[in-house]
Amino acid sequence: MSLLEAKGLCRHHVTDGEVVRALDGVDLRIEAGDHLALTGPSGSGKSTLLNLLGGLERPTAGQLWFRGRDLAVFDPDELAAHRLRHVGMVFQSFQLLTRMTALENVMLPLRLAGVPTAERVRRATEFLEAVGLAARTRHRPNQMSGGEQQRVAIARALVMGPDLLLADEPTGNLDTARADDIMGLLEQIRSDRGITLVVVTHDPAVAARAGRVLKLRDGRLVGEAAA
Amino acid sequence: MTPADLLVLAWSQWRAATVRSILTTLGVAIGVAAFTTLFALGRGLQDNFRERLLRGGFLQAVTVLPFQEGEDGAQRRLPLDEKALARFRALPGVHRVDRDIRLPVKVKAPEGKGRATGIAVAMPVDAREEALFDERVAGGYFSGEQAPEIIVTAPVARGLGWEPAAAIGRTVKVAPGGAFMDRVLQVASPFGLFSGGGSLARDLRIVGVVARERVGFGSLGASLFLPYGTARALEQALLGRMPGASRLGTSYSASIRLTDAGALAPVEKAVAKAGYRTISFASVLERSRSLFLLVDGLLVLMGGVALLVASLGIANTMITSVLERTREIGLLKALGARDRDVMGLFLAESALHGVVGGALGLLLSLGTAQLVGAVADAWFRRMGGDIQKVFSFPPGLLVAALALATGMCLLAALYPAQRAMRLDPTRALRHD
Repeated sequence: MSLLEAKGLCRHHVTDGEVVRALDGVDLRIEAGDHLALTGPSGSGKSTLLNLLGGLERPTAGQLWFRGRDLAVFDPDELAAHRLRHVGMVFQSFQLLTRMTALENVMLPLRLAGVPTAERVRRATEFLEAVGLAARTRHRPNQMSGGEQQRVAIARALVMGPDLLLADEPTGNLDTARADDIMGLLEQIRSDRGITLVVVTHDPAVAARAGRVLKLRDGRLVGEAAA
Repeated sequence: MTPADLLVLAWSQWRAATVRSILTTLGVAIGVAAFTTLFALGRGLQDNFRERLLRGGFLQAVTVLPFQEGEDGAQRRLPLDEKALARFRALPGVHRVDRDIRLPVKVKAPEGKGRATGIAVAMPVDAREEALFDERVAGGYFSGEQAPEIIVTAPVARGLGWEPAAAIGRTVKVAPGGAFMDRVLQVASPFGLFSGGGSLARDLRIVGVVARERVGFGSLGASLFLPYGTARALEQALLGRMPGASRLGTSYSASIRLTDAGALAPVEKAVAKAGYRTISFASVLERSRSLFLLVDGLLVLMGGVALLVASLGIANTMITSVLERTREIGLLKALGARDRDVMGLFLAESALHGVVGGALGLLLSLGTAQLVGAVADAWFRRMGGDIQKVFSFPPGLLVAALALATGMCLLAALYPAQRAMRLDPTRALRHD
């Protein structure tokens, strides 16, 4: 059974009275452990597809199965629980809460899951160590570099032990060296933990690291290349 | 997310926007303080009034007037004699029944030291009446119904030339008198109505001094108090000199003292059924309940306006917070927060303002009450009166104020919290 399977996946919305077909009939199969890159020009539907795969948005048509379960029938609470337990998300702009330390940011999903405090601290510390930030646990985001902030975001995405790691332009705000570091880290995590990694990117170098590269244009899948 | 986690996150946001949080919380505190203080003021004044009446035994007393109103509206006088009083004594819940005796008297200190005039009233002599007669500033109570003793107010004592403590044990000459009585005796004497000879004055020993004139139907304006037997003897002596004036100053009213306030309604009913008119502080108090409710209502309304303003402040703060933290809300949802977690987070923040603001407001209210109470007490004392308490804080009020503040904050945050809950996570994450 595939980890994710999409058939005729559509996401349409109305803007200024006009129907925008952000995603328009995508068929897709993602196996556990895959490393996938979604590429395409701006507005091609990459981020929309990523949001649908992560259960952050619901398709307006088509079907999406996660391990054989149709996500369309999930109620909002089930979908939230699905995101919490099975999906980790990394964003271009890190999305860390500036009022919290690195440790507190990483503990956030554990807090949502109601994990006891001691266990929360233990696991968050372990993941911060795993991304090389053992010495920065008490630092706030504004006391860290962009690369470090993205590492904190990765630790946060991993701390619940997800099956699927979705990264939306994870290196978009980083220089080449740091981008390389981050991609190296993501690949290592994927291979160490057997996580499925889907990366949205404009950067051909980042896409080249993926096992599969899917090209999107105008909301449609226009090609797939194996690396 | 557990309630404890919601509170921790709410607290972290509270600290992140310290100035705004403090100002919002202060708004709640002031609203709660205004509400609580005004409510406590209304209750305090009522309690003060009620306690004063209760302390004097006025809520356990009924005054009986010998009038009956006929169907034609005309008043008829009924006998308020021993037979009638005996009927009242037989009623259940009656402690004692006494004919009210009020006499204008003149008091003279020995050796022309000083003199005073005033209204003397008869007081029952028993342990309960002694306990109720509690405004003494010096001395004690009567030793017996027939004891040649008198209790005077502090101004009367001073008029006689003594400070209250120094007046105790002094013997004074007390005679029926005063402007009205003097006039009666003056007019009656030439016609033989006053079968004169000898003085009506009695030597009475001052056994107690009270602060001020007593307020009550039977003793309104009285500044001198006599044991019943002594008062009756003085009255009889006066009447003995005035044949033809047998009803002068007598039988105008009687006081029924009850075993407890609960007996009031049935006794009043029974007396009224016998044709007599009754007056009681309790029934006056009962009738004035609507006035108290109106005062309470107005005070609560004023406090409520303060609370309403505070709740608008809360709503404003929470809406601003939702707008400022749109990305955070999107992130929480992306991480797996349920809608109710997001809503709970904002409600917890608002509740925190309510609890902290409510607690501060209560402290502020209690502090204000202490201060204003002390100032009012000093002022009343200077004006020759006193006030037991200006503010009354029943324990329920403190709990209710805290609950009200929290409830109000939750209500004010309901719309912003729902707005946060309904945010689309993908749009929220893109929000600038």
